[in-house]
Amino acid sequence: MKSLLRSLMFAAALAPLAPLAFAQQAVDKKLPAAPDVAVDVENPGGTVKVLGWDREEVQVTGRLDRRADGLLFDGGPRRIRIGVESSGPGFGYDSDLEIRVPHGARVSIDGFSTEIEVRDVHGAVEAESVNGSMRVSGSRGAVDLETVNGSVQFEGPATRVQASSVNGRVTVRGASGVVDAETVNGPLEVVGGTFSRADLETVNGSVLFGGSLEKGAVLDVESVSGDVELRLGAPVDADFTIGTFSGRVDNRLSDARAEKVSRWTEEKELRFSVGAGSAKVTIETLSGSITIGTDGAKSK
Amino acid sequence: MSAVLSAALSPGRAAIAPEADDARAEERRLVDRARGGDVAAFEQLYQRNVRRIFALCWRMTGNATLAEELTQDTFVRAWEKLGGFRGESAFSSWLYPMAVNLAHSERRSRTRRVARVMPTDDLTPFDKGTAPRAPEASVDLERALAELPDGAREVFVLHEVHGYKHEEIAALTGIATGTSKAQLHRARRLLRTTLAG
Amino acid sequence: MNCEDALDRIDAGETDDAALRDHVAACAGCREALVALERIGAAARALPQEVEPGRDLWPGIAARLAPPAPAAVLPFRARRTVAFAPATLAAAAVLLIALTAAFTALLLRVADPVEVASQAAAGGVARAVAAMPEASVAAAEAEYVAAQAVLLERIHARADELGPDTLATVETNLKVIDAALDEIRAALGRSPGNPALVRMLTSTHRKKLDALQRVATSL
Repeated sequence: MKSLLRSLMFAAALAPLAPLAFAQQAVDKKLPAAPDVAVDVENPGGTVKVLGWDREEVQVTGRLDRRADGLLFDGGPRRIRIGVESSGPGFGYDSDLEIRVPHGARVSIDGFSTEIEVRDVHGAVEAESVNGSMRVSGSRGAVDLETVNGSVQFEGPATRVQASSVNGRVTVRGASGVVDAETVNGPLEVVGGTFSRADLETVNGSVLFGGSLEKGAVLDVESVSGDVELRLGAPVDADFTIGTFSGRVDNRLSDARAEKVSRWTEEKELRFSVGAGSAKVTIETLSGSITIGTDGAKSK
Repeated sequence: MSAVLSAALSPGRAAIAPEADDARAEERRLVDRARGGDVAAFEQLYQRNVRRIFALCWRMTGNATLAEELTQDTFVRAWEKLGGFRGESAFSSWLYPMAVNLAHSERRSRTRRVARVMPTDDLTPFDKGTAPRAPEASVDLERALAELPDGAREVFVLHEVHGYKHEEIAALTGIATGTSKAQLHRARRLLRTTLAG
Repeated sequence: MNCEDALDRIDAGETDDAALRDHVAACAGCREALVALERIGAAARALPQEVEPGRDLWPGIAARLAPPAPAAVLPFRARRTVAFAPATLAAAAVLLIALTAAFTALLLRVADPVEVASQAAAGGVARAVAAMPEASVAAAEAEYVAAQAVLLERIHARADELGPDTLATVETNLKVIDAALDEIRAALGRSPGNPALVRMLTSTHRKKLDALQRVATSL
């Protein structure tokens, strides 16, 4: 989406824009929309709140930064674009947009110093920010959330989730299917239903995975120095390959214990199967400790 | 990213297959309709190209199930990016690099697994229920291709089967031209020894 | 020319060579290899360019098609990207993929299925993958470091647009990543060529590049 935007930027510079609101003016606009309308939002700074509602309309309210050139609000009924116009630097803008969309909408939000919240939207959600946290709930579709500085929280029945933050916590709850989550410097937590594939990577944060693995599922976890904990849904049916350079391994699933692989280093490896071993679980850390157990241990 | 890349690329052999003028005009009409949101028109474009895209993804990855997914991803992405297709080249030569790019990127996330999981898990397409049909004579080669290390297979398939030059492969996948040559060398050596017996 | 050189040239496709021709004329083994490779090449070119997938893929695609993207774009991204030369962006993007792929290729070279399979029978998977030569690790790392420097320079050149907070965050996280890289390198010092550590080194470098890339292309 983004590269498309970029590749078309010259066309855009020439394209006629919708009537503009004036600086500092409060915004309150509405357009009719299809139940599964695609809504694209851009706001370089401030907040974007998108809420699902029962009407077949998209409504935007809020206020624009005094330095913003105006608000773009057009399209429909299948695709609507909302954007704060600005020609200055990326940081320092502060505009607040509250957008109401049909529950079935698909939403794509692009920001820079932007806090993002999406609630009760059931379609796919895509959000990107640099300085800003994001909180998304309700999506049943594909979810793709990325920020550099801030936390990323998702809660909902999505079946395809990508979530990453460089400097912040990433939390994914209630999802299933495919999840791909990454942090550099923040805890990573994925707790949900049954997964077919989960890729969890962090440099410095801890990793908690709670969920079941479907037959043939692949779960990969990598952490350099953060601790890793798996709480797997019973019955567990997987092959485990666990390696750590200097961390501890606590295996609560079987009697297998990690063994040193070399006389010269602390490196340890543990390989074992539970059940028929249909899923594949791989965990690697450098110094992080690893705990594997079932979710029975979890307090409910 | 891939749009930028693919725009700068020249097509491989398959992509420059000459098309009759009216077929090209028909394709233009389908693209225009699809760009306007006409799913049926896009389905026709899909029908015309799916076998080619699948062949490429399958041979690049050596895994039929994965290739099916990548083929789907390619068409979904094409639909999303259709607005950026300017029609200066054939639709297929715009679509093809997208598939190569996706198949190659898939490797980034898969590499670690391939390296530590037994190769037979991922690299044998023929025992999968959904394995495509290959003509008898080529089965040995297809099987040998599937068993090559990923990087070597990818370059061999692009270069020898689909006719891309090293420079094109480098631009499509981001590997260095030298790496492409080295991988082809490696692929040939492995194939030669595998198929000799 | 000995057989090793001859086979090397044959595999490299450098067959238009007088010395090689002389050798092949005299050596049945290399002649066989040359013929075998020509046969493989011909068979590869004859492979069907089209293959029918094992199932109908269209329904899965149709279900994922959103309404088409609009021909025009939104304002803030559009305007600002004009200032950020697209050629620079493209170059950075290509650089990023190139490095990841190059490192990956290095790793794959050691992950030969035959070697892995045979050695895996005797020991753990992690040990089955042959050790990566230290020199390759260092060379690949140097390329990463160079790419990171280029991106960082671009980020600093855009400091005015990014704002001080963004820069501070970037620096903090680079420190975190660098500390992790140091830890991994130290471990590699104790266990040279350890494939798990090399993978970790790669993915940590990639995260660093990703983070830089994301900031560098955010405006």
